[in-house]
Amino acid sequence: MIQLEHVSKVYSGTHKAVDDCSFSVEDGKITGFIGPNGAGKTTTIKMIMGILEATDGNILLDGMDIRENAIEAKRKIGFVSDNPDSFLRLKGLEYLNFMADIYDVPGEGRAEKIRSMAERFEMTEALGDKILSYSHGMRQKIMVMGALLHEPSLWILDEPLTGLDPRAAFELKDMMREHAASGRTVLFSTHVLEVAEKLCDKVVIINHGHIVYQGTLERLREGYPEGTSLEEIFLAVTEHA
Amino acid sequence: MHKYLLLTRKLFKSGLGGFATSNKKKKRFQAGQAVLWVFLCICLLPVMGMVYVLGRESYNVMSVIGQEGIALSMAFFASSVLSLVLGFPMLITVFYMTGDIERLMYLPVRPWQIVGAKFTISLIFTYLTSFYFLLPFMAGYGMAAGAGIGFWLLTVVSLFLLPVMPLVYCGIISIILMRVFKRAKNKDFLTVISVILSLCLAFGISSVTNLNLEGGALQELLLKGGNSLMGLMNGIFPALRFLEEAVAEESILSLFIFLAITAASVVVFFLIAEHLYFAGAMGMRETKAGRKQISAEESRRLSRRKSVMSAYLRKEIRLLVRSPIYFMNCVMLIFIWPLLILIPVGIQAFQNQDFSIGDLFRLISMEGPEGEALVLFLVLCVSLGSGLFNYIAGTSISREGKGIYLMKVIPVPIRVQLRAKLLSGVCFGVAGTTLYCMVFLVVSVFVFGLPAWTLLPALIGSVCANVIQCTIQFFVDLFHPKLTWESEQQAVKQNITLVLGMLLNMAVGAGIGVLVFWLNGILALSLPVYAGIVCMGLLALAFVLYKLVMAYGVKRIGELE
Repeated sequence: MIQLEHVSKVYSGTHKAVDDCSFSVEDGKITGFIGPNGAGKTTTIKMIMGILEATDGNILLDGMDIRENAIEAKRKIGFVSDNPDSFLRLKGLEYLNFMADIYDVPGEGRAEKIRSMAERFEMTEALGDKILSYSHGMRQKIMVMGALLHEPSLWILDEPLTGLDPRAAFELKDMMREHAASGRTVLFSTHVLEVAEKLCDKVVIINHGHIVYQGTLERLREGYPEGTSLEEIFLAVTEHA
Repeated sequence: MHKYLLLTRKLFKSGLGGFATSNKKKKRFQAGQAVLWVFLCICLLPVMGMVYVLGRESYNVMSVIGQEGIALSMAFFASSVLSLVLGFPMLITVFYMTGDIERLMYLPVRPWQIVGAKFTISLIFTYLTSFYFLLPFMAGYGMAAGAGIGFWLLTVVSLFLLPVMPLVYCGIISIILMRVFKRAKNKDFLTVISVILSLCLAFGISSVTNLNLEGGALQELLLKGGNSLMGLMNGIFPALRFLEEAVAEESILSLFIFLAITAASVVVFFLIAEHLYFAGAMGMRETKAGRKQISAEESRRLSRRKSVMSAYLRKEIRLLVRSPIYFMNCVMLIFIWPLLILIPVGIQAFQNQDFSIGDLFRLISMEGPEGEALVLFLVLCVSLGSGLFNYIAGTSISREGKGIYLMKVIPVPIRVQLRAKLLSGVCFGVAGTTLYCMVFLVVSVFVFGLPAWTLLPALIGSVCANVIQCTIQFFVDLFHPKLTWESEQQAVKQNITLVLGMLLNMAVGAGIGVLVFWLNGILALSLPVYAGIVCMGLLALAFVLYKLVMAYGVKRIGELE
């Protein structure tokens, strides 16, 4: 479970990128983090990941404060960044083993785990090649595999579906559902409202650094006339914030 | 021509892309950069002063026998060789490996316009180094000669013309090499091999001079006066003679001849580029992809569990060795420096039949305390000098670029990550200096009778010197890392902090060297005892620096957002 309690982030002493945000991401659910460009999504995710330090407030990951127990808290997370262009000169298999070593994945059974994930993402024949030779979608897939090797209890994804082919996108969504179904937590940010609509059990909408809505999409729709599209609702929520 | 100028302007701006940040940040950034540049200039002043004195004294000494022109010959030749040696890795990288190549190739521009723009940018960067050495030399020379306005005007023109020809050589050889080896599958490897080959070539051809006259003929020319020796040193740059005449004798005709030869060489280069560049550059960014399934056995072997430290260190080393730009700029020089010394020595030996390598070794008598002390001191100096070639620790934070956040994402303490980064620099440094020194010493023990006990202090001293130099560079990179870059080239080649680190390395290296030499004179201890004291001192210094840098680094990485 991820809990944010009155979290704020101020840049350069004046610019408040995130202002007094509180929300929780429950176990066993897929939570979508939605907001327009510059709303504070990435800043919030970076604070959850421990990349940025919150100016105020607390962030708890499975009850652990990211500031006080940074290493232990990070071990619980599997993170997929929006930019998969990292470690490009490593081979796919080298990257996966690097992540496995970093996250203390036991050597026993590791090869089998990698093989099974590679088969699921149709990456078996690419593991011996450098990530540099991969397409954008393949790079995204290898990052997802690296994030899940240690079976994290919290899975955080930043714009994960960008560049994935339909089959890989389907597999990824399926994996997110499986992850949540096993009682673990999934938080992902997206601009694609249709994806959020089909996938999320709950959405958190952020605008100008403020949380403007959190709850199910059904409850959000209740406040609007029947037939109003999610896009229209989203625009209304973010415009009036 | 218009497109060439447009491309040059755009490339020049993107080459200094770090300045293109937004307003407030930009002002603060520029102020910081300005302070760094001022500091850098101050640091460079002493060397410039020495070069000025060299120019002045060269004139004073050589003008007595009417051969002051030879001073100009030597300065122009040295500057050309410097441009040639620095030019090869730079041009291969700029022509074939920067991220903008694919974006430029689909524009409606001709190959020569792309090459021309990239060549011009490289020339501008080459001016920085060539001016740094040549400007004070010419100032010293001109002041001693009491030169008039004609000399100074011609000097300015010559400073701009001089690096063109060496860069044209580099450009032609690079384009031909990359075209010839185009079909190679591993392009990263090909690029590295091309650079090593061309560097060896550069050192080789620049060592071949025309100075192989019989003693009598040389003496005759020397006594003749009137700058009769001028031009003898020019070797592979025969046209330099005209530039030397232009400056020394204020001859406008000679200047025009040199200008015409230079212009013709540029035209030939552009013609070659027009026909060969695209063929070599196309597909350069592609990487070999076998798309073959890894065997279960190999997969299990690769999947053996390693410690976090070992995994991180392997990752650092793999990225360094496999990225051609990092390999060429940070790693390669550590290993090939003996080659760069051996090639000219070998060529001189070949040219001069009386010379033998054995004579060189016999010059150093390794028996007796003085010989042993000299050998140990040389090992220390070589190891301290590694700071001038080893930029691994000095770029380890900058190389992360925008991906610096990954250091904070993974559940590995920052201290461990920093230790692995520093260790990668030390490992390469030790492999490139300590290992060579130890091989040399072991041979000396068996062949020249050097006492075996010298191996231990040499080993300790050399490793400590490497740690000290890497730690200093690491500190400078932590203090001011270059994290905003588009291509790897910018992280290591256009990184002002790297130069600062190198200058600090020089200062600390020279300081330690002088201190060790001076204390040896005044303490009058037996060599084993003194060597032990020096080792203890170096160990203590390395330990203190390491602790300080680690404490600072953990805090500093936390601040980087």
